Formats: sequence, C-alpha cells, structure tokens
Amino acid sequence: MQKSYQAIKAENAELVVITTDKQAVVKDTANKLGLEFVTLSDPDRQAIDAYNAADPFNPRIARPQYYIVDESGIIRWKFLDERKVGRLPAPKVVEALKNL
Amino acid sequence: MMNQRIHTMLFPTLLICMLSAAWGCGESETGITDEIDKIDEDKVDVIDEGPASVGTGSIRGLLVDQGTKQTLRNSPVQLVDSQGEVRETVTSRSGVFEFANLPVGQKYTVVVELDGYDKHESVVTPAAADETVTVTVNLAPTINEEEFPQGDGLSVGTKAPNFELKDGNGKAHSLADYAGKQRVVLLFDRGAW
Repeated sequence: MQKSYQAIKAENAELVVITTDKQAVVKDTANKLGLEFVTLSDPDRQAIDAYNAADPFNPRIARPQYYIVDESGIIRWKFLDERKVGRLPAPKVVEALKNL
Repeated sequence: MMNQRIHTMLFPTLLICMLSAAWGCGESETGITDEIDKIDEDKVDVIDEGPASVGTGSIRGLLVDQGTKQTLRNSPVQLVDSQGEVRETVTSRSGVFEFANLPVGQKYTVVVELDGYDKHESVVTPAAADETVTVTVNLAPTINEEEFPQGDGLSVGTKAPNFELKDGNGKAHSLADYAGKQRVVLLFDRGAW
C-alpha cells in the first residue's frame, strides 16, 4: 500500500487504514514499515462494527475490506474478497479511484 | 316422538350451559347427560366441555422482549386449553394480558407468535379456584442467519458512518475531517501486517 500511496494522493484521496491493533502496535508497525498514510487503532471495534467489518471467524479482528468514500461521505466503491482473507493489490485501488 | 320431546326440552338448557360453561353444569344436571347420548352427534358437540371443573381461575401475564427488556403492547396472545380450544387476547399498553374464567384443574398453554421473535409456548395450570397465576413471557428475538453480521461490510451507495479514532501517536482522526475536501480510501485490515 505504501508503494501506491503517492498515486492515491495524486487522485486527491487519503488512505486510512483501520485495525484492532492497540496504539503502540500501530505506531510500531507504521515506523517499521515507514508508512506515511493514516493508520488508526480501533481496539473497541467502534468503526469496525459500524461498518459491519468484523471477521465472522474471529470477531476480535477486522475482515479485510476496502471502501472509497467520496467527498460527500457516500461509499462509492467497495472490495470484499469472498475468501474472507483476501487483500486487493494496491494498484487496483488506484485504478478504482481513477475510474470513479 | 320421544326424541323430539327431548330436543325441545334440551335446547334452552343447552343454551344456558353454553353461556355458563365456566360453571361446569354438564355433570351436575343429572338425567340430562343420559339423554344426550340419544341426540345427534353434531348437537352434542356444543356442550362437550370435558371433565367437570370446580371453580375458575385466571392467568395474568406480562409480555417482554428478552433482548431489550421492553414490554410489548398490542400484541396477540393465545391460550390453548387441554381440549385444544383457543382463546385470544391482546396485550395492554403496558404489555399485560389476562385470561379470566378458566376452569381450574387443567393445563393451559400460552402461545405467542410475533414477527421477529421465536414462537413461545409455556404451560400454566391454575390449581385452585379464584387463583390468578401470574407469568412473565420473555420473547426471544429471532436470530436470522441471513441477517447475522458476517463482516460483509456496507453497500456501495450508503452513507459511510463517521468515526473518530486515534493513530499511533494518539492523534484523533475522524472521517468527517475529509468531508468536502478529499476522497478517502478506507481500508479495514487484520492488523499487525
């Protein structure tokens, strides 16, 4: 994702990643991987539950899924892998931003 | 000729029996019961009240949503007696229902079938005359497998719920921060990646 971050920024979009990791873990991961985008800690699953994004097999963590939210706050695009663990290559997200 | 006379005698009596069924007149009216056998089957049906009972009792209950603990008003409640006869009422504004004039000494089943809840059946037996049995009926909301959250997320076209969460440095970020300025690629992940 970091590799595609500039391309995402170029589409006038911000990348925000949410996990159940505690703040310290989020900080550690961001530092270790040199992440420039926004990484948020949601240990109480405030946002994860609001988006119905808890993993059905392990509700303590999120099921990977991607959204593009437009400037007016409407979800315009979504990716959810049916295998429940899948991740989408970052360039696909950039492509989706371009196509919207 | 004999039958005809019994009919004319019996009919006013039958009516009274129906109106006062709760008092259980069938057995006490000796003589009549012997004659009933001679009457056509369909005419016997109406006074077939089963075993004689001594006095009547009541069942009073409260209908409650087990999940929210809220009382449920204007909801139909049925009472089925041991002969399969169904009585029906509707709960009051405070969720109370009551069945009165129930011959004692038999089992009654309280049946509640409401949309969104599992069917409820419980057996109540008013034992003594003038007794009011109080029950609380807790309705369990139906868990629909289809609607059960499976982490499928939200649909395209819906409003993205706002959130406010902290990053690794303790700085708060809200989805609303980007409103009117930028699009947001929102990514939920398993973590520690």
